[in-house]
Amino acid sequence: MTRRDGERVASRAEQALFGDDVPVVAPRDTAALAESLRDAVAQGVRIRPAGLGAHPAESDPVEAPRVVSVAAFDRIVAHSPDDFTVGVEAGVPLATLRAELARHGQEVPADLPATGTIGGWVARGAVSPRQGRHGPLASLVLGVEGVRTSGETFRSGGMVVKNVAGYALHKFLVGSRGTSAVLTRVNLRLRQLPETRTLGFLRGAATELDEATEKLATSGLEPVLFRLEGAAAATLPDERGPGSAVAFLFEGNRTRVAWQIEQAHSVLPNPGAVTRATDDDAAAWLDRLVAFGEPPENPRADVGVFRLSVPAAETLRAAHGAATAIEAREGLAHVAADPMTGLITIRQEDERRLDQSLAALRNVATRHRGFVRAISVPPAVHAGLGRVATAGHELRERVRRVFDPGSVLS
Amino acid sequence: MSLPDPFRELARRFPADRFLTDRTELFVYECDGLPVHRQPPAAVVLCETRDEVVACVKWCAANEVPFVPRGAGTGLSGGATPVRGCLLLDLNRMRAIRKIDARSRYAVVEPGLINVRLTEAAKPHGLMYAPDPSSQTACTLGGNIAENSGGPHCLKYGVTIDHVLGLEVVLPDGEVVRLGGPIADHPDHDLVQLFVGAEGTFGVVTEITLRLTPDPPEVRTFLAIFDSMAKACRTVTEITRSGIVPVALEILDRRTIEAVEASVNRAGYPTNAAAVLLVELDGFAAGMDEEERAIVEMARANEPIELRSARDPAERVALWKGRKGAFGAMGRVDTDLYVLDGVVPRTALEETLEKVYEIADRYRVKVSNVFHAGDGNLHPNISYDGRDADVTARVLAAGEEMLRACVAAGGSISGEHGIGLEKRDFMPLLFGEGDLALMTGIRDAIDPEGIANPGKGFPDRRAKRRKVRA
Repeated sequence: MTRRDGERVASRAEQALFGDDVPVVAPRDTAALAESLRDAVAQGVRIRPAGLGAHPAESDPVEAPRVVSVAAFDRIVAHSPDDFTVGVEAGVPLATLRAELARHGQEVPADLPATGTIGGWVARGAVSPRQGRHGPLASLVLGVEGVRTSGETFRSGGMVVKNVAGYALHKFLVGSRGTSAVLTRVNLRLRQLPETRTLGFLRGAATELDEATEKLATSGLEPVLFRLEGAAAATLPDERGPGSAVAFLFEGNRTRVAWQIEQAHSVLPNPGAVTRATDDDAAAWLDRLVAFGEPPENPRADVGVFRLSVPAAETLRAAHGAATAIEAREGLAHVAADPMTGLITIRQEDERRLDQSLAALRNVATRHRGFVRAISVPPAVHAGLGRVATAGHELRERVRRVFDPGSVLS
Repeated sequence: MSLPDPFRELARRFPADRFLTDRTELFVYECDGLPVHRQPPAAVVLCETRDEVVACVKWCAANEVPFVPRGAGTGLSGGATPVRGCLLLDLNRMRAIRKIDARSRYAVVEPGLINVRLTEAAKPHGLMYAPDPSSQTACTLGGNIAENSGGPHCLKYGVTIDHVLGLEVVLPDGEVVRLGGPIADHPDHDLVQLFVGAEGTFGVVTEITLRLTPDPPEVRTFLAIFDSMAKACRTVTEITRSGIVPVALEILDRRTIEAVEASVNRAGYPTNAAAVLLVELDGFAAGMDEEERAIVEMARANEPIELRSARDPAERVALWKGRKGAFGAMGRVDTDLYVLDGVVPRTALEETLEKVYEIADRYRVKVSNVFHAGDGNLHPNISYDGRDADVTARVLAAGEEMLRACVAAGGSISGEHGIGLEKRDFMPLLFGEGDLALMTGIRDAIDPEGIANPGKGFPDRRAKRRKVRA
């Protein structure tokens, strides 16, 4: 493979991320990216778009013989602080975006992981601990630009906060895992950083914690709320490590947060047992909770991360069902369950049982009218998992092929 | 009216009072809330079940007859305007609320349910359905899905697409698919997000799963009345910049105020008022005093003529009276009303409005503005006499130029009304040929025969090739 104008040489670190035997094409601009994609189509080579290679296990396919990196698309191109919008190239590291927005007292109201790029984050359709309060990622995406495998560029949406012109391809592509097109730019809605955050948490027996969780979930308050089991509870700032816990976080203006904490205490059966942490500790807990749901830094580690999604009312039953199913197979499940959204992250650190765990979790999902996906499993396990056809699969594929007729990206 | 033979075969499957072919009965279906375009359908079916929709769509596919789904017909972009020779599927009778799950905060409804009925049903559970188009007492949720409707309170809660969790859709070949559901994650590309706002070009929605939102325990409403639009716009910009997110930030301009004051919805605005800014906060009472004080200070800094506030529901209704009655009051100005819908960045409100007034003067048309200032969603309303062809031509030309001004400011040609017939030829203002080819390619992949609400949303090159029966 020869390097053309507009392509840079992938750095040693980049190359190492994808494996020394995988060619990495690193275009500097849209024209070079388009040329790379046309090349792949002409040669019949399947390709995988990537940013910093932070989440290869969630990319599809993992066995693609060529990587196209958008790491050079790394500019924040249109931040309008007064309008609370930002336009970001797809290769901008999430940490860079977070720091830049914080300088203006703003944030993307979702919890950005420490690693990865904005393009990768959108392509993964990442979920956020604060999703129950601020909505899913798709609701924050105002527009995208990208390149199809034909080399043609496209855009959808725009930079304004309300826009219904054209099909909402920018929302449709959230979670598409790079299997339709290569995103080059994402426009996002912003919020003001909260004035304050307060975290409260309880440890104790599972049944008491479940009761406390349900009381908070139905209190009419607006908590970020998690029922934590195993290593998920080690994210809490009391340094007591794994266990069983319920954690609730309030954010916003000081008066409202203080009032909500007071109300939360009034609905809890054992308010005296609540430990409180404020601001920095609360923010750090969110970061650790995000990391808990992220793939391990070393994708070959013996760790599986699964995400189960059920109707909110089913959360605790499904979470217990998932833990029981895994433990019945001699695995150890670590669980963070969000009863406001029904999103349950399950982490298992035992490769031998991961394939069986996914099969068991699929049964749990079916029982609770939900869906489960493998966020990260070691490559050896991934190859054997297979895919489950979901509702609308044929229709989705029909639409996907309009973007990528030769299935170079899938 | 004599029906083509295939229609007679379909008509036999329905009671006569649910299969309409009489010219006088079809008359009410010839346009939606955009009367500029009119076309009677060949026939109308009043559908009552999903299976009836499936039967109709399969019949349309087999006979190459276009179909147009329709709810209450309150849309403002011609999305439900019939095309020549079409079968119109009236979905108003499919209005059941199938489920409300208060704990999981979602509802499952049929597409003909009137928007406000869902909030009424959710209220005893402490919940509401947030998107509230101005026509919410008449418009249907299926229509809201088709047009991705907004409303005054979408500033805080988001528009329709942010509240749709799942859909059951009858595709253009009659196949039924279920997309999404009451869960927060989806397995792949999110087809629900693609179908919302597709204006019926992908088929007919027959069941909808919607997110419900906690009914706010406290609501505060206040008005700031200014002697200039610039002062009102500056106040909006400052509120936006502060990071406080009210649930509504609405502006009425001088001509609207005059129309309101001359109508039965008279709100008692001062005679020298040039702009009324309505602000509403909702949520927990705790912390709201600080936000209200901050907003009032921002308004005061821009020298309002008057500030009014409401502390109870009755006072709130009084403050909303002028805003809610604005469109009705326009009826006094002239015989017809062309309601435009453009969006600009919030920071470009003032300069874009100046352009709107300048364009109106240049084309000698009467424009008034009632708009969702908080999200930059402008609604220049042009009152005119539609019987005068010259005036109508000037109105349409002025409207186009106003939308061009929105795009030039970094905005869009629609914030909540959809593209429909009205703005399909303006799509190239926003999108390149490749973008449009991609979107119409998706439409063709889902509807290869081109029978699902054809001609809507995009410059319709395909219409010339399509076989249409009279």
